[in-house]
Amino acid sequence: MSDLAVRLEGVGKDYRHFSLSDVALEIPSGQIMGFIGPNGAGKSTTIRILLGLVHQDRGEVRVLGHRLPAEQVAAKWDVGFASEDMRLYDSATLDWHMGFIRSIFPGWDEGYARVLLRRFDLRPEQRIKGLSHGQRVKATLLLVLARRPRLLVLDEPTTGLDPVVRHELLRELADVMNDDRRSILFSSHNTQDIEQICDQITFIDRGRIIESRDKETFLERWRRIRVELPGGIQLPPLPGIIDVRQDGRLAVATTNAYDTRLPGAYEAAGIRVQAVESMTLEEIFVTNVQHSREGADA
Amino acid sequence: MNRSLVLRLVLKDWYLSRATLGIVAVVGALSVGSLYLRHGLTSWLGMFAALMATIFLGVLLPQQTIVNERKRQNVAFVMSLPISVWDYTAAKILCNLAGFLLLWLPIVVGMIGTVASAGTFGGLIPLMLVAALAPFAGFALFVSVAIVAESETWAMTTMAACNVSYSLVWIFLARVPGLLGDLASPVAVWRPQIVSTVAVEATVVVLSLVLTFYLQSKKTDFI
Repeated sequence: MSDLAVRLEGVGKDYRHFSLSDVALEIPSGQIMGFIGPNGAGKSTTIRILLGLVHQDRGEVRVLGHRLPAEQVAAKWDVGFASEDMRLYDSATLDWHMGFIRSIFPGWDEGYARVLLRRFDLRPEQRIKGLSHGQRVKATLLLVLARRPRLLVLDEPTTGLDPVVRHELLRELADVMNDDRRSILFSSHNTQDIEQICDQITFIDRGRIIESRDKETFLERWRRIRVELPGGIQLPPLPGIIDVRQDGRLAVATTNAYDTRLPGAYEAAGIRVQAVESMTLEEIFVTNVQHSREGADA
Repeated sequence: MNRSLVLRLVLKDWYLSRATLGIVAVVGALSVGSLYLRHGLTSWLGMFAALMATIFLGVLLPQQTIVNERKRQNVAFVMSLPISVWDYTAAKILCNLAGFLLLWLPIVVGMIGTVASAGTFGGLIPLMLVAALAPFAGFALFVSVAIVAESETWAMTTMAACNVSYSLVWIFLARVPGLLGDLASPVAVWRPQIVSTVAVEATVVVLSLVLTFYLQSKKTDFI
């Protein structure tokens, strides 16, 4: 239990037009969990449950060993949260915000804050309303990171950022993980960002976790096999093949449980294997969601 | 409740509303000062300006510290701090109530005290108290709805309803036989209708604030 930064078990929340169902999620300490899902999948609801801002109807939530929502205050001392829709006060300066956060958190690291000001090219005397979107996101992350929280919860932090700013932020997050006691839950639409920095990946769709495992396993298990079918031969159903697209004699089979024996099995059936391709996280995500929905709708 | 953090949130809101608080303080001081001059039209203008200042304060302070904070998406920032919904509610009520009373009370006491010390306009005091409590009641209701409903539309509707209610109170009091004649009396005349109106205003204040805590404690979704 103690080596888990986050543990959700059987968590559910019902709204009129949406339900979060039986969510189970574990983030080991020192890991970055990428949390991917389409719009309205339940990412933000899950994250708000993790912060005690939304109370679950069912299930158990533990954050840094604290049971939520009852112990949300104790948990939030060590949780840094930033979301795409979180705004700082327009009329105040970044310096005022830094002073405000410093006055609350005894662990505020002024030296690190100054380093981040330089790295992010921010001026403390500037009012928030004068900052660009990218600068605002960087300012928010500065306020979160300089507290040195044990758990960072980032809800779509890179949405709307240009590639340079995104790269700066991701580099900083990677640096954060040099301290192996710290963990990050990183929700994003951008699978490239997730693939770049995350150790663990969880897919969520329609309020359900559809797959959760470490990134390497994801990338190793998912493959696309391109085959050429001789006339009159059908593609045999093989274990682990979850999707087949056929166009004339050419077919593409997708597997989420790749085994080096799979191409051999096709060859044995007289089918010529043209290529076995790795898949990007985005391709895995899209195929996974489609497969999950087809299963649910069937 | 984390008292230290609640206090920091109150100071934060006061800092961000310092312009409003400052303007109302200056207008209030000038208004009471002009009333103190006891110079016909100037005194009436002073009384009017003082009441208007408290009405503006009662609308602008909750608007800036609660409604705008939610509209401008600052609530997630506040709620990411180690506070509970209860702490948030306490901070908002304390910041607004103390901020309002710190200005409203000196203005009202200054206004009524000036009139009372003149010795000849005591009859004005009961209606002045009714008029002074009306913005306080409207303010308390506005704060309550803004916190609980989390909706600018509902907050604005409440404000509009309060403004209509002020007029209804005056229509009600104007129909009380002999009450207008009391205004010329050198001593205050506390008719039952006046006492009832003051009691209703005070009840609205207390009920609004108590209900806010009760309804907030029942919430399961905050953002």
